[in-house]
Amino acid sequence: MNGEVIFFVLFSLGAIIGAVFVLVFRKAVYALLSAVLTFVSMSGLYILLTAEFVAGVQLLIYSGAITILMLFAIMLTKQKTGTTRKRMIRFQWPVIIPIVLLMIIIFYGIHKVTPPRKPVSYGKNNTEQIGELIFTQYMIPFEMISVLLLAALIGAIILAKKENT
Amino acid sequence: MDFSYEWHVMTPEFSILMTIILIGILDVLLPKKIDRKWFGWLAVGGTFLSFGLFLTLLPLDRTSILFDTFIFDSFAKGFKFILLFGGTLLLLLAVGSKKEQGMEKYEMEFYVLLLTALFGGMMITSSNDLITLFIGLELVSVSSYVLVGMNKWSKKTNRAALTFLMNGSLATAITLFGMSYLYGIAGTTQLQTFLQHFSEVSNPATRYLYIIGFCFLFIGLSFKWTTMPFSLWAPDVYEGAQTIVTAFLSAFSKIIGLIMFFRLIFTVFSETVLDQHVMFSIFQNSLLILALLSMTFGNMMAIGQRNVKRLLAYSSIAHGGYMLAGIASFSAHSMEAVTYYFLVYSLITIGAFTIVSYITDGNEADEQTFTGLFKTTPLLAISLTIFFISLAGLPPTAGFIGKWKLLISIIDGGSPIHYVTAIGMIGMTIVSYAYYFRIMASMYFQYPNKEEKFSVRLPLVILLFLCIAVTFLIGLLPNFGTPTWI
Amino acid sequence: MVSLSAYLTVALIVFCIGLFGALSHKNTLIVFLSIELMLNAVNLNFIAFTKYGFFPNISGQVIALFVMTVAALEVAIGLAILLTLYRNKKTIDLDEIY
Repeated sequence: MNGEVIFFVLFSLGAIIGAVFVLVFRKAVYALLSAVLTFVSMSGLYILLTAEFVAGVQLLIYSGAITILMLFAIMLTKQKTGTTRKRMIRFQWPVIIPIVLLMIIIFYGIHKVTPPRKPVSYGKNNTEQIGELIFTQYMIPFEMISVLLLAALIGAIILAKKENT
Repeated sequence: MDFSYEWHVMTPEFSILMTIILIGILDVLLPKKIDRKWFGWLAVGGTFLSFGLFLTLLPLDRTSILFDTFIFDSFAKGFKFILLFGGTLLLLLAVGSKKEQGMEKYEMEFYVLLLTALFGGMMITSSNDLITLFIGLELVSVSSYVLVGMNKWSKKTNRAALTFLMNGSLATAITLFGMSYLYGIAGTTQLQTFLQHFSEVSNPATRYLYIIGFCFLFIGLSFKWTTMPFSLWAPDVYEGAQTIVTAFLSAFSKIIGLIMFFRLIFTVFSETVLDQHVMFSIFQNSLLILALLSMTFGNMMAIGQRNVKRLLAYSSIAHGGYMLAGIASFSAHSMEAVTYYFLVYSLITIGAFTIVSYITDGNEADEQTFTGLFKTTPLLAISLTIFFISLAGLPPTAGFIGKWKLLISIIDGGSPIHYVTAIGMIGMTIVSYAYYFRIMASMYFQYPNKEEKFSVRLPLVILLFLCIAVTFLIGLLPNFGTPTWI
Repeated sequence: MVSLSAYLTVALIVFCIGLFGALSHKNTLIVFLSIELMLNAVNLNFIAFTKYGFFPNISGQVIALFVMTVAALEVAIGLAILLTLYRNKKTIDLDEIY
């Protein structure tokens, strides 16, 4: 039992419990907070996988930006708080069976995948490597992302703008 | 000048991009009073420029820049041609038809988003890298979410946009999950090196995972393509969106899922690696079953529809089924047959929607509006008849040749389930006559509810002429449309 | 040392929970959150493969960054659409929307 295993168990439990509670909580704000637990635990897992830069970005974007965006949406809309838990979930049983089946099928595939190579760790110059790759090999998708952001910006503005006809 | 990379192969994309930026800047700089209607013509001009540049590039051999994230090969040439052609037709339709209430002040946004989608589609045709494929797909999806929801004053449109977005982002997540397994096994994002890497580690366990990844990818893409697992969104969204956007979704957005699937099938998911595996035949058979389901579902639901946009949505689900069946045989002809069918399908769909948008003029597309059309405007009635006959697959139109080619490629597959699918396809085609002929009959043999002449608008006439001419041309000369460059 | 399949299993579980939520929850906001959970699981897969994969290389981390960008984008567009709907219908409950 070394440190890596302990932290792995801790973070993965955090991720799974957070994900479960997103569905269980009746108030949207609580659900959002438990989603933050998942996001933070995920970034912990990324650090275990020696992806420090992605872990940092995960914290910034998911538990920062997306959570704040969601909070604004919760503030701007009126939430209905269900009196019973049953009302929040629409069709529970018909959906859960195929999903469990799916999980078993995939789990059969991944439960003993053993790659032949040794694991690589990207300790110190992780950010440098990512930057180099983005600005050489992945130059074109990076520029496409900027067009995508432009389109989304225009879209979000015209959709959310308040006006009367 | 001498560049280290051959950037000139990207000039068609660059010209689209410049048009987007130009329209955006002009909208900001011009005074508020000036009418912005001519932005549409600017967009059409941009696609024409792009088309011209594309034609000058045709003699090039396979060129790739930046580690295959952008390649210009015969595949890209063929599909870029179809996309640019369809995109130009769509823009002409957008220029010519009347916008819905309140949409007049969003001219700039509308054309920018349409051009962004076109740009994304063009990037998909010539990308040979998982990331570029994914971002291209997102370019198309995000701009279509906004296009669907743009008419924000109507509750129906809001609901359509929300349905579309929720299904779309679910599909994105599923696609990415599949991609993650593919990436994990092959350890690269370049499609060209995928198979080489995969064959190094190929054993039953990795093959199992590989097929799971591919199934997820397929399910996610089938959303774009409106075949069965993810097609239930289509009728609501098609009905709620503006007619131009509906035409865009059914003719343009659909081809993009197809192109991506093709690119992956022919590079990543090769039979040579997987043919011994039992999962491969399971995958193939389930594709055929899904195709049969989509055909049956689409055609059966279309019979009862009174709203023409909804009817065309169900019919497009059925057509997705036909194309899926054509692909699922994985035979020598399937690529050619499906490409041909897609060219035909997108043309006649754009044509049919042109007339729908013309007649309804921004109102509800109820079947009543079409009653007695022949008495008021014979030209429109005859063109709609041509498109419907083509959609139904009767000779001498291109639709017939397309269906014929698909059938041959399905039968080529050679197993009992292929034969069942072929028979099902013939049966369902006959069922589809019911609703196409019902509308045609009411156009010719009934009297119109109100005497109303539809005036003729120039862009729409050009558009209809182009669609009809090409439909007959490739219908009468079936090998003309066969892409030799593929 | 933690093995690859442990990471993949965690990702699979989170993905399936997200899928269940996206298919069955009534509140539109929670549906969006569930989709975010699915995308997080995808990212964990990608990053696990960069370290332990069959051909370990760093491009998985780059993909993860791209996925995050797209996820943020989709949420932004989604919430904008939700707001337009809320203005017209005064509810974000899927049962009342349909």
